[in-house]
Amino acid sequence: MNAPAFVVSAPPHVHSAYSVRRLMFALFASLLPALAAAFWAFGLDALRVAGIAVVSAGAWDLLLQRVFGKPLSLTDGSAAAYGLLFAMLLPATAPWWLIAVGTLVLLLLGKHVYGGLGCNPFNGILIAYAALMLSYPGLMQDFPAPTAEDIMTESAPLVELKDKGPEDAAEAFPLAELFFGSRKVTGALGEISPLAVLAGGIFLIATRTIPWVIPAAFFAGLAALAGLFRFLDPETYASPLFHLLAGGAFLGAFMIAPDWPTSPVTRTGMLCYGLLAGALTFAIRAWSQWPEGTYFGVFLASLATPLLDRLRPTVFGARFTRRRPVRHRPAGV
Amino acid sequence: MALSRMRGGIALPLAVEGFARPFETLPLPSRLILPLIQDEGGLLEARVKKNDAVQAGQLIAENPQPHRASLHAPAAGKVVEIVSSFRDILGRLVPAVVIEPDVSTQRDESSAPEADPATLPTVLGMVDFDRRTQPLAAKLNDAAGRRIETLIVNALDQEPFLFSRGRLILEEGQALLQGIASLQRLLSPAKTVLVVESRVPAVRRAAAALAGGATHVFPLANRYPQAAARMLARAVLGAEIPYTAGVTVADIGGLIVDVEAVAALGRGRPLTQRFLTVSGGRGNLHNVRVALGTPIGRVLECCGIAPAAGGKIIAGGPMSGPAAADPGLPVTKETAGIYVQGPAEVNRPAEAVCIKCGLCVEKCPMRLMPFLIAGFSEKNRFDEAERYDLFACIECGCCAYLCPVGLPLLQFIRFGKQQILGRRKGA
Repeated sequence: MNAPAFVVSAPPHVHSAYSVRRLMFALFASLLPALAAAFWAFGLDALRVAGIAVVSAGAWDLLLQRVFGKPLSLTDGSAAAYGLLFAMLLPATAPWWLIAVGTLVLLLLGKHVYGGLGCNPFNGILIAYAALMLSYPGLMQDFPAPTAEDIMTESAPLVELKDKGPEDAAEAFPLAELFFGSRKVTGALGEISPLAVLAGGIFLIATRTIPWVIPAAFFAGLAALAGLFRFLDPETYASPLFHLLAGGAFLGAFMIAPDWPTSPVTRTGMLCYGLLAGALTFAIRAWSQWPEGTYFGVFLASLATPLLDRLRPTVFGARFTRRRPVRHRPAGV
Repeated sequence: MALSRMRGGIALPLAVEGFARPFETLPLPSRLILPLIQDEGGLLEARVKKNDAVQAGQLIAENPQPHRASLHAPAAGKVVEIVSSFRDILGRLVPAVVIEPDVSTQRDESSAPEADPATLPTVLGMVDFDRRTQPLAAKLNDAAGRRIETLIVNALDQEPFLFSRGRLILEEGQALLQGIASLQRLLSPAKTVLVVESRVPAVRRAAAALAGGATHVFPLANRYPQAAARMLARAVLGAEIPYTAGVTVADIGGLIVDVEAVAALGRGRPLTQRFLTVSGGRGNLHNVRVALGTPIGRVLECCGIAPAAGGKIIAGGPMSGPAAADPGLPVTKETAGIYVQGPAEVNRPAEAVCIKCGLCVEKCPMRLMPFLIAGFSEKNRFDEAERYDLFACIECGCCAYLCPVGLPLLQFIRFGKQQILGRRKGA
């Protein structure tokens, strides 16, 4: 036959605009407002940290692809997006080698050692964060002093809370300043302005890069537990709003907790996961040695993901019960 | 009420101009190829021999089982061949009757045969064009003896890329009314609803003109796969039916018949043609009336569409239609449309890994976990795939359409179903 050859394959024959590259680009783009806020607060140091993180993540990715015999490619944008996200967890003072060690752990233990993106059981960002936090706690919490003149403390809000208690912390950091971002506040790059992070988060939800359930449940879990203990003992515990706006709660809720491979896939699973991550965030902040509990909280919650994935939706029609058959003789026949 | 009454599924873009293209009647080809499987009812037996002269509308094949659909000659002519094994679009090897039409005679204009209204669908070869074409007689038989409160006439197109059902509302109102009337006589439903696309005012107006008495218009925004029987039944009747074998829409008091089947019934002549949307991309969009047995390539030729090598010819819509390897394959009662893609539009599935984003779970209209059942099927873990309700999948393809990684999820799911069914047959 001399007819032209046509492609035969299973439907669907059309595809949506979604791709891994698009998800990664959206994640990268969503972090830019937060990066801008960090630049405003810390100057060029913020860009230095972000730049080193992105470049080193790309370099490690290529090297590890070589080592593990994978085709060399950076085009899915995952190294850039994860590199930038990881930078958001670092202080502006982080030395270059600390960042490079972090991105190595991120790419090795969060991706390549398990076979690639999607096969990783743990969130690479959080593995890298945990590794550096345990190895170099001093460097990881060496936040630069705020640049504003009239500051009441040089500590980050959650450190102030841990050291001085809720009353002093609330006095040093009015909620509005925490939310909009202020040169009186210090912390990791992504912890300066929840407003900037929120802008990125809304972008992620609007483009359906992440589901809205996880951030909503995270905030609910954190606020509920913080509210309960605030109610029981206001001397010891900060207000729920302080907990929501201080530190990395917004970053954790929008950019870290919804990490695709390590968060649940079902609506109910996501709800439980978010609540758990939020509750653990409060627990670690309140009762552990670490001032900031978001990242460890999300990490611990992600360990429950395989279990939460068993919370399946009810299949269409599963609640069906057959009606009693009605005998009927149609009129026209 | 511009609502879609559906959870999950996807809002595909709707090209409203498709409804504005009137049906063109295509000329007869030099050869009509009629495979002897035309629906889910199984193999037909030929009732003509080689070199027989046939009249338009003459019976040429019958199904030995009861409540099935016969097959009729779309045109007068001569049976030039009875092929014993013709490979049809789904790869089945079936006999086929080949008719050389006599161009001097008109197409099927025979008058309605006298018959009992209950057996008429069988005698006239009527089918219902659901996602899978079924003999109408089988559907009516299932409904017989049960209380059908609501007769649902579905004018929502299977996919937003097809427009022939909406167009039928605009052009075939008279036949539709007669078809509705005869179904009403047969089933005596308390009410009849005519489900139409809510976003096309012309179609809504035409539907409203057909309504009256116990017939109501039910506008729905066609969020894919809203036109699938289960989704439609849920939207209209408010109840969900499971995938358990033997449970049908009749169990919740409804019967869904699509508008093309109703119009065919109303015309009262043997079913020998299909109303199709033919799309060649870049606005090359036609609604056509085509004789069964016309080669797809001939239809495309008439529409001025030249499929390019390395492209795809899809018999149906791009979400769920099978791809045709050969443009010589004929239009049958199972052809839902023709959609041609150029080589650049052909998407290639990825060899990559699921990143567990959860989009397929969120959008699955049957509330399954597509990535999981596809993954189990891919890894030959069929028991687990079945435990996660593999067989509930209606094969709409939303999962694979959305998958950011580009996994061929529906293909894996189909593979799993075939393997399990094959093993059961073998055991």
